[in-house]
Parts: sequence; C-alpha cells; structure tokens
Amino acid sequence: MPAKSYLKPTMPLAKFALAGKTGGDEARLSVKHDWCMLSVAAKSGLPAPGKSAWLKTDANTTPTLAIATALNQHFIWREDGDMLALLADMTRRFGKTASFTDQSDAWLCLVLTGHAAPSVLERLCAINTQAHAFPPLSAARTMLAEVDALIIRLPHAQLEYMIFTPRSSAQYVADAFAMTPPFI
Amino acid sequence: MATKRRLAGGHIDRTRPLTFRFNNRTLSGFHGDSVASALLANGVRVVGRSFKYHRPRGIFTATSAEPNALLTLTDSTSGTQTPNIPATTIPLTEGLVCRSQGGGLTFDPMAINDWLAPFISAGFYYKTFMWPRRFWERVYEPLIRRAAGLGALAGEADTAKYDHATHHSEVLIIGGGVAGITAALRLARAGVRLCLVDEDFRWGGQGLGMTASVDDTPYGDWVAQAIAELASLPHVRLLPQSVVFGVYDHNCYGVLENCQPQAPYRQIMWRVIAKHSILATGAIERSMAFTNNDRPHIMLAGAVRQYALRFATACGGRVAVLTCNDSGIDAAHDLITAGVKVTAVLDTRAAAPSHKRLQATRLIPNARIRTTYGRKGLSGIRLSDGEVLPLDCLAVAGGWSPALHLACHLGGRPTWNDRLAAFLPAKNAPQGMHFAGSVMGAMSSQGCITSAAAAADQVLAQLGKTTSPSKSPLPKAKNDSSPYTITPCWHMAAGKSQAWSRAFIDLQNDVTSHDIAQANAEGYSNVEHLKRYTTLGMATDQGKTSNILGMAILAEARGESISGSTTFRPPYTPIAIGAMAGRRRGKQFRPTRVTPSHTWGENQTPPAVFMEVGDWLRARYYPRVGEKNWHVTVAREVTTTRTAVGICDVSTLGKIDIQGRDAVRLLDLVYANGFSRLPLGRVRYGIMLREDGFVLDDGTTARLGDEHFVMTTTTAEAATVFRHLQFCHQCLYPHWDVRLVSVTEQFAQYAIAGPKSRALLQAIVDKQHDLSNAAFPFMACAEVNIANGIGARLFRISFCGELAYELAVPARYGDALWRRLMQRGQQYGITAYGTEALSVMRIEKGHIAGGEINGQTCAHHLGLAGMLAGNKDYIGKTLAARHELQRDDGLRLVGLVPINAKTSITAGSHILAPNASLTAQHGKYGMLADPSDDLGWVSSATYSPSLGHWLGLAFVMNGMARLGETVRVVDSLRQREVLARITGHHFYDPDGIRQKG
Repeated sequence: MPAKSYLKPTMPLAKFALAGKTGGDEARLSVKHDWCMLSVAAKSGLPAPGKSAWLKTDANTTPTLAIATALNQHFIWREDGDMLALLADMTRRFGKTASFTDQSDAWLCLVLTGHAAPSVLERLCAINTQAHAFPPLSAARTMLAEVDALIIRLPHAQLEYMIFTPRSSAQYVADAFAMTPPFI
Repeated sequence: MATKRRLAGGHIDRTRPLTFRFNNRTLSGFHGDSVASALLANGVRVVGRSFKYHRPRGIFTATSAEPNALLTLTDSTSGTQTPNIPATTIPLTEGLVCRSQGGGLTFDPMAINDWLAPFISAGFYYKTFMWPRRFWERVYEPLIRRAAGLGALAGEADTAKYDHATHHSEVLIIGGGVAGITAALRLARAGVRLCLVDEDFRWGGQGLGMTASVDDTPYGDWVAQAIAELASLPHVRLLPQSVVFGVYDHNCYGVLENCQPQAPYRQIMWRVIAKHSILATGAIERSMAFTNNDRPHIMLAGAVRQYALRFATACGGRVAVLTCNDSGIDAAHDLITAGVKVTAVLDTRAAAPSHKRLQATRLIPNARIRTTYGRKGLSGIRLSDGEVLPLDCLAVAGGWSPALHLACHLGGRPTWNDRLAAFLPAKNAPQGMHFAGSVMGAMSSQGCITSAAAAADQVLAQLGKTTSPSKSPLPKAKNDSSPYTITPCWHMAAGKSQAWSRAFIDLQNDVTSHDIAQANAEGYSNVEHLKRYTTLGMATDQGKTSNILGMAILAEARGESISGSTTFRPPYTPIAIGAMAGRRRGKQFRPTRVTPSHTWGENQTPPAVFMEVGDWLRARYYPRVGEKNWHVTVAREVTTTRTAVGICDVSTLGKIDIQGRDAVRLLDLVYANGFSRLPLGRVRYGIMLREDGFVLDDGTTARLGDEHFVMTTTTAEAATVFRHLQFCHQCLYPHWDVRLVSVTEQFAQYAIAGPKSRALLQAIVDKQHDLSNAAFPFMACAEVNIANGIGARLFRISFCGELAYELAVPARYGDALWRRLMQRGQQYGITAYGTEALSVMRIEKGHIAGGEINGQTCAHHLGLAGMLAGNKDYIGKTLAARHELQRDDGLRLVGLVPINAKTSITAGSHILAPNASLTAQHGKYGMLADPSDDLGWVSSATYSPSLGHWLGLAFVMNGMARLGETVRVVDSLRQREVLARITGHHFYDPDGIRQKG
C-alpha cells in the first residue's frame, strides 16, 4: 500500500479464528493476511498441475510458493506481501515469456491445521485430502462448500492446509467452517 | 420395569434402564433395546393399522425390512415429527417419544374397510373413481390419502440438522455381520484402507440372534473384540447405524449415517468413493401366505429369534414355528435354548434330517394352516386337519432372500436359484463389487466366514496386496445349525366359507394372494405390471419381505417358474428430504458473494435493499428516510444521476484478463465484431455469438497493452463466457499464445455517472492524469493512480447514457474508495444507485440486457446486424447468416410508449395487432384466433422518471416497418391491456451527446 494514500485497505475476516477438538484430534482455522499472489502464465519448470513447490528466490528467504492452477499457469504466493519484489523476481525468472496478473485481492487465505483437518475437509469438499492421498505440497483446484477453492497441503510436521477461496464469499466460507465439527 | 417378557442373557444392558413414551404411555426398556424390542417386552402387541383395510398389525421383523411397525417420532425439544420410522431400527433412548400411525389401536372407524374387502380388491380405485373426471384430484384422491394408513408430516419445517460429507476408501464393506467383519479384519490387517458400514446400531448382524460362537468365543464377544481392533486402526472408518442407500457411477456409494442424539447433525449423507466394495448385507427372511397371516404376533422366525437372543425378549408365552426350511428348525432350537416355550413346530415338508434336533418338541410334518384367530393379537391357529392350536405367537420361516438390492442399482439383474429358492447376485454387478456371506447364498456362519475371506483375498489380489494365515487366521464358527435346505411353500389353500379371509403377501400395502391372482387374470402378469396394479412392493419397505412371495405366486398362477424380478432402485431405505438438502438451507442454501461496497450499504439508515443476482448480493436501491416506497427511491436515484452524479457498484461484472501474442486473434474469434484494430487505450463494445448464431453475451473489452486486454462480461454470464474462452483456447486453438485469468474478484469496480462525474473523479484521480474530454474521450481507458498512488484502471464507458466512467481498484481498497466517493460527492449532491435505477436508465437509453439477450435472439433481432463483421471469421458467423434470422420482416427490437401517458406497460406482455381476435377460453385474454396476430413481446419495461411516462423495449415482427403504429399490449397474466405506439428504442439522448460530452 502506498504509504501516503488516504484509502485504507479492508481485509476480509480480519479477526476470524476457529478451534475445536473431536475424539482427541484437534483442528484450528485461521486467516492469513498481508501476503501477495501473482498469477504467472508461462511455459516453465514450475510444478505440474496437482502440485506446488517452494521457490528459491534471489537473496530472499521469504517463503514463496508456486501453486499449479492449470497447464502452464501458476499462482506464486509470497508470504510477506511484497508484490514489487515478487514481480521483480518473476520478471527476472521468466522475462517476456510470461504474463503476470495480480491476484492478491481476489482470494481469502485460510490455514487449517491439526489431525482433525481432513475430517473437517471431508464435510466441505469432495476430493481426498487425507494425509496418505494428499501428500505435502499437493495442490488441488476444487470446490469447497460449493465455492471455488484452491487447497495446498503444506509440508509441515503436523497436518496443515492452506486454502484459498474467493474474497467475495469470505463470510459464507467462514460460516461453512463454523458449522463443521469440531468447530460447531 | 419391562420384565413381562424378558429372558435371561441378550445384548442389552440391564444396568442402564430407560423410559420412553409410546402413544402417551410411559414404558421402559434398557440400553441396547430397539423401540420394537422394548414394546414387545412391555407386552405391546398392536403397533399400527394397516394401510388399506385398517387391520390391527404388530411387529413383524427385527430389521429395516419392517412393513408394519412404522412409528412417528417426536423430537422432545423442537416438537418436530418424523413419520414412518420402523420401530425395529430405532435405538431406545431416554425420553424418546413415539406414536403409532394409521388410526386408533383400540378403535378405528376406518376398519370398516376390512368388512368391505371383497369390494375393494386390486384395481378398485382405477375402476371406480373414474367419474366425474375432475373429482379425482379434488375429492377422491384427498379422501383416499386421508384414509390411508401411513404417517403424516408435521406440516412445519424440519428443524433437524443434516450434513453431507465425502469419504475415500480403498474398500467399502457393506454389512457388519459375521461376513462383513471377517472381511474387514482380513483387509485391515493387510493395511487396506476401508470403511465398514452397517445399518444396525449394534455390530453383528443376524448372528446376534443365534446361539453361535467364533473361535470359541461367544459371538457377541467376538464381534466386540473385532470392532475394537478395527476401531484402533487409523486406516479403518467405522460407520454404524448407517445405510448404504444407493450405488452410483464411478464407484460412488450413497451412505446415510444416523448420528448419535448429542451430535450436531441428525444425519450425514456420505458419498463414499471406493474402488472395491464387499457386499455382505446378508439375507432377508420372508413369510408364507395363509389365511389371516397378518395378525399381530405372527412374525418372521428370524425376528422372534433376534428378540429372544439379542434383546432377551420372548415374543410370546406359547410360540409355534411354521417353516419350510431348516432355518425354522434352528430358530425353534435356539428359542427353546433361550427359554421360550415352543409348543409346536409346523413343517410344511414331510421330513428333514434337522427334525431330530427338536427332541421333545412336538413336530407336525406336512403342516398347513387353514386360518388364524385373534383380532388384536394371535390367539390360535387352525390346521388343515381341523386341529386348533392355542398360541400367542407364530414364528414363520418362509425362506431367505439375499439382500442383493445394491448389486442391481446399476442395472444388474439377479438370477433365480432353485436350490435356495432365491435370487442371487448376477455377474453384471457394479464394477468392483464382491460378495460375501448369505447375500451370495452362504447360509451358515462358517460359510459366511469362508466366503468373506475369499472376497477379501480377491480384493487384496486386485490391490496388489497379500495377507498370511498367521497374520489373519480364518475364524472358526461353531453353532449346531443345520445345513440349509428348503422346499418352498409359497401359500396354503384357504378353507371353505372364507370370503372375508385373506392371505396377505405385502403387509404394508395390504396386497393379498387374491389380488395377485386377479391382476394376472386381468392381464397384469408381468412383475412390473403386477407391482403397479396391486402396489405390491411399494412404499417404505419396498417389499423386502413380500416381493419374492408375490412373484412366486404370480409365477405359479402362470404355470411358470420365477424368472425376473422388479427393478431395484435407490434408495434402499427411505431418506428424509432434509438429508438430501444437507446443510444447504437458510443462509447456507447456496454460496453468497458480496460486493466491496456491501458493508457500507448494509450499515446505512435505512439499509440498502439487496437482491440476489446469481450468487451475488447486489444493492437494488438505497432508500432514504421519508421515501415512502421504492419507486420514489429509484426515481430519486435516476434523477440525481442524470442531473448531478451517482455511483453504482458494478464489481459483479465478469472481468477476464487476456494476454499473449494471440490475444487479439482470440477476441476476433469470440466477438462478432472486429477487435484487431482496437487502439491502445481504447474500449470497444462487442457481441459474442454462440455457435448457433444467437447472442451469447455482450460487454466491453479494453486494450491496456499491445498484447494485454481486459474483457468485461455481464454478471449472469461471467462464468459461461470464461469457460467459453477457455474452451476456444484449450480445444480449438491450443497453439495460440493466449493466457486467460479471471480478475473479477481482484477488482472493485464502480460506475461514476452523471454530468458531475468528471468533477468528482478529478478529486480522486491523481493530478498527473488529464481527464478532459480531449485527453480522455468517450471509450477511452487507462491505468491511473488514485488517492495518492494507488494503481487503478479507468474506463470511460456509459451504460446509463450519461457522462460516465468505471473505476477499478484492487478489492482491498473498494470499501474505502466507495466511502471517499460518497464523501467527496456530497458537494454535488451525489447518490448511490442500485440495480433498479441502473435498469431504468439503460431502458431509457435503449441498451440491451438480460431481457433482450435471452438466448433466443440474434444480432438482427437486436438491431445490431451492423456489428457483424464481414471481413473475418468468428464463432456463430455461419449460422447467424441463416435466412430466418436475417429476414427483414422478422423480430426487431423496438420501443413502446403508451398512448395514454398514465398507463403502464409490463414486461412479458404480448404485442397484438389492433384487430386481433381473442377467445375467452382462459379468462379475458385467452387464445388468439389467428396466431399471426401475435406480433411479439415486451422484453423490458419501466417508468421513466426522466421522460415522465412508461417505456418498454419489445421484439416485434417486422418492427422497423411498424414504427409509429399503435398496437395492443396485452398482459394475460394480469388480465390487462394498454395501447402503445411503436418507436425507436433509444428514448433518451438518442444521439449520445450526453455520454460523449
């Protein structure tokens, strides 16, 4: 955000979080803010559909994830929200062979963690997100609670999923999670 | 405490007594009881009235196949009623409230039907209630429905919560009896991910009603150990009290889980995806047809056995067993072992090796029952030789029918097996389905175990996995049951003078053997016809205990053997409508999308009024204090916008980012007009055709760079157009260098319209941008900075016909920008306007929208033929050139103005020739005598605050030649008519001076 602008950004679900436990397994849902995401269309060495991968960026240790969304199309997600740095990095990487589109404002980013996470997702989503079937860094474009969604399994010690759903449906999606055990 | 009929043993927990209410009586039972077993234990014999004849009926089975004991459950907290739940399937819980259905148990005036039985046999309704014709819907059907014996809904919304879920397994095992559990153990120990489902609230199946043991452990204990082992494995999912109701394509199974009372959801409808399934659903016992075989406490032998051994409840103090097979002999033996007094065993066969098991019990071979006694509970039977046996319970073992319904849901047809007198699963079962246990004809415990192990090994082999005897030894069952042999006895001849006596085949639908004979005599001799003529096998139980009996009697009447069955379709058991809806009700009925300005509108006093546009909630209008109705509000919004400035949230319009060397080729392909010469920094309106030449959508496309465009679609067609572009790119021209990304959600986009819009915009857009008409003319576009450096896109386009812009900013700034515009616009008298004002202004301007682009109109109809490019190819070009679409006297978009300025025009009205002749067959405006007098229809209409009268857009045959003509505008729905003059459809500023100024 330009420092001097008088327009203040509004983020969806600014203070939203859920936690619950079922049969000894727990799940937590939180909203991630201050990230940025670029749609990159390029014939590249980025992961194939169904996969995601951490990118090694020049002189940068900020986690940056490439998520396959279609053939030769990826969302590049950067945790610190520095779009200019991300754009520069991608331009360096692909030059004029790629096209870029800012997607930072199009999505709500949720993080679902815990052993009960797959049982939460099976109430909302038809794909198999169990640990054995959806290994770390798997990515899927699917429907979640009847809404477009992008689900990525993060490669952490505990089960952790990053879920993107359209910004306009943020409250609807939050309500859908809140109606799902163990959050209900 | 309910000890009247209690026996020792069983699988009930006597340390956990429960009370419940049945027909306003407080009764008791134990944890582990079903409502049916508790009723029996309390000595309740009559639990309902029959559907047609209102005969007293009692509990017949111990499973979901129950035809008689259907109860209405009342939720004690919400009062919600759920009808038609078999008492046999309801686990007893503390405080449960239920009642019988279909008339009073002690007195039912509709029982007169029983005396009229000879006159109301099969086909009675079809033959009798034919005249007068309209009486069927208004009189006969309501009366018959009211008299029928099934339960009624509460008439109020179902307050229970339902959910949907999806589970993926390698194997789905359907049935938690000895076969299902054996297969599950074998597969689970080999590491296979599986889901084990059983419809009962206790694992174990029919074995719980037998004196059996497995691996020298009592059967119940063996089941408990096995389930505990399975539950401890992370790759096993157990779904008790869940019924697999259907099998669908792609290895998908529908499963309905009944949740525990304290669970947040009453039921969960699972979609289980499994590459393999093992059907271990067991078999369903059937009855025999003899006179008055429907009295309370004439039950299936397996059920009597279940109640005695599983529920520790004796169904009578003097029980006889009627059988035609060895399972009846085993039932008698087990009943005696459990402490039930069995007075006689009636075998329709002459002799069987199993008879020697009966020892001291009286055996009557070649037995035939002439009739039975006891209206509200069996009191005795008369045999064919005249002997009367006083009884209070008759256990009937007519043979077992494999529960193969699920094997037939994808078109499989079962095959008849004479040795078992039953249908067995056919080879064309659903892909990946295997069979285990009595569903495939294994009628002993060990047979079930062996077949289950074989099915499991087959699955393992197909999954490329193995198991070893040491890892999963084959369980050894021990029960002294007899090898199953059967000599079917379908029915027994009635004695003389039995005109009012009937042998019932289908207890739920009161179908008798006489009905079947009559149907056959009248030509309904195919089982499918028989079903529909007699209702055999219909309603909640779908004839699970009766179908085979009915088919056998039909086959016998035709002198044939049983060959084919009726078609098995989902659901296997009834499903509440609420379960199908899941959580998709109320706010969760469908996804809701809100625009960036939504919060502002919601928080106004009074708040904005929103409407659903697809999933979007759009502001319809923004009322102000003192405005008495929405017409006043909309008129104010229109007038303010036309005279000063208004802003409208148009973020819902589809926005597609198109980049690449071939982006312009794609635009030229999908749009009927040309885009290759669209200069940088300009916007062009375009129409998109379907392959059939009709208009798919319209919108604008802006050129932001040499190879960079942003396309705007209508809100309604945003997804359709994006898919269409993807199809064109991916399937038609995959070699083109084109990249498509939806940016609908990325941008908040606002229309800023009105003579003061430029002045307002100048206060927002950063100073370096020149917005003068010369620098930024009509149909210009640019990437600009606003609010001190925020990147935005500005388009000078107008849907309302005024000087107007659309400003797009990243969605996070949408709320703040809207508030800023409203604040800075105050000096100009700004208004926010909603979709109503937007619609009024576009009709005034003559712009087309959903009413005109309705999927049935082409460019010529819309007056846009001039846009069809002749110098390029595009989708829809060939078929748009059809003569019928191009003819000069075809439909044309025109304007309508009422002759009397005070009269209104309604959308949907027909345009009739002045001299059209209408009949009054269906009201004042009925059929046209000459259909050619119907000239067209009104596609959009509004009151115009700008012009002071109503306007309409209409499609009229040969419309351009009729300009100036007066036509009749007839709204037959509202029964009204006005006269209107046909005009051009650009009512407001037809030369476009205002939008270009």
